[in-house]
Amino acid sequence: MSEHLSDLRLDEVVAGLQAPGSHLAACDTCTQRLARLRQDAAARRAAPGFEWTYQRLNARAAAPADPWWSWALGGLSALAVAVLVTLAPVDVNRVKAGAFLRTESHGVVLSTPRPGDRVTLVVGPAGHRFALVLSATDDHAVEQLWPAGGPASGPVPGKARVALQPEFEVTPGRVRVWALFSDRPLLAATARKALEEADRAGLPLPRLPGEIERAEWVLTPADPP
Amino acid sequence: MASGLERPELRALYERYAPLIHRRAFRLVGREAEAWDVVQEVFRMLLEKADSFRGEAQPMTFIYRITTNVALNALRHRTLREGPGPVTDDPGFEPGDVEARNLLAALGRSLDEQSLQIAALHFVDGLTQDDIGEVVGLSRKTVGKKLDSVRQQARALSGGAA
Repeated sequence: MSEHLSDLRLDEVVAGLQAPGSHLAACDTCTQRLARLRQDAAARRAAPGFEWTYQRLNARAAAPADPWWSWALGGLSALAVAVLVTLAPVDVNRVKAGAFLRTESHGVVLSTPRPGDRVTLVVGPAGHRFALVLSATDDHAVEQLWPAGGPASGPVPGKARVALQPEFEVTPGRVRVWALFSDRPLLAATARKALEEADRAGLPLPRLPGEIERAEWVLTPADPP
Repeated sequence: MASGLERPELRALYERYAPLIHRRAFRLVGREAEAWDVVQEVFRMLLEKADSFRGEAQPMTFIYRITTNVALNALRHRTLREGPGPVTDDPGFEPGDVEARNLLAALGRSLDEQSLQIAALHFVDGLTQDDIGEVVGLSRKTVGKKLDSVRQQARALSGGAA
């Protein structure tokens, strides 16, 4: 093994810190490993987490005098804004055992709301400090349900059950809803973009950097009365 | 920027180093999201030490050292938080990598930080003792002695079977 270049040396070449040198010119094994490392680097640059992490880093670097979480709190003011979101009658599936997501009406769990019903999204954060709720319809329309219009996850109280405001009016059409729980804010724009890309590609929403737990609803139209 | 790095410089450093930091972090922590958290933490440290990093004669060894430290801390905290258990969310991970990481998680309870870093560079990265010495700032001879000690502790963990 020692006769070949280590990953450390190859990484220096990949990063442009060192010229390839005579060994690489003569060694097929190391040349192939170098090519794999370059491909690997390109793939990681294309991964959603790459840009997402840079945004987080840039936000912190740009405002170091503020607490790192302060930029996320701008979304709190948006909670007062009423937003009408279309939700279809629901068939709730709880994906994770700890955290949960469901709809309620007047404090009662409403598993099959009808169009026109007004429902409240209720989450169980399972001890996590922040939540971000997104939805996607069958025609790939992605919306951020909560915090409404905020730039990032919103802080949730340390309770077993948290009702998220405002209420939503239910309209026909299948909707899938995700509640992403974390212990620090997730950037909403990045989460929406990841969901849009995954949804259009027919893939599951990838786990986002910082996301700890997730609850998902698959909302399907109820049978007509 | 208060970090001492202008945005173009930060972006250039990120483009250059973030992919390999993530690759190394992922090999150690085994979870995609946590590996990106490690990338962010490493860059946070780079921002704090921007001036000294610019003056580094061997920036890659600097990157390796910080990345290994941050990733091992993440692994250690996770082990404390979750206890021993599956450590990867990647079903395609090589069994050898998983075994090496499980070993590191177990050794993390008894080894000092530097010895644990040496163990990671040896068992996970497969670096030579010369390269390890360069990363951690020790002679090859000292690295060899510390690796012997690590192996003894690994054998003790496995009841003498290793």
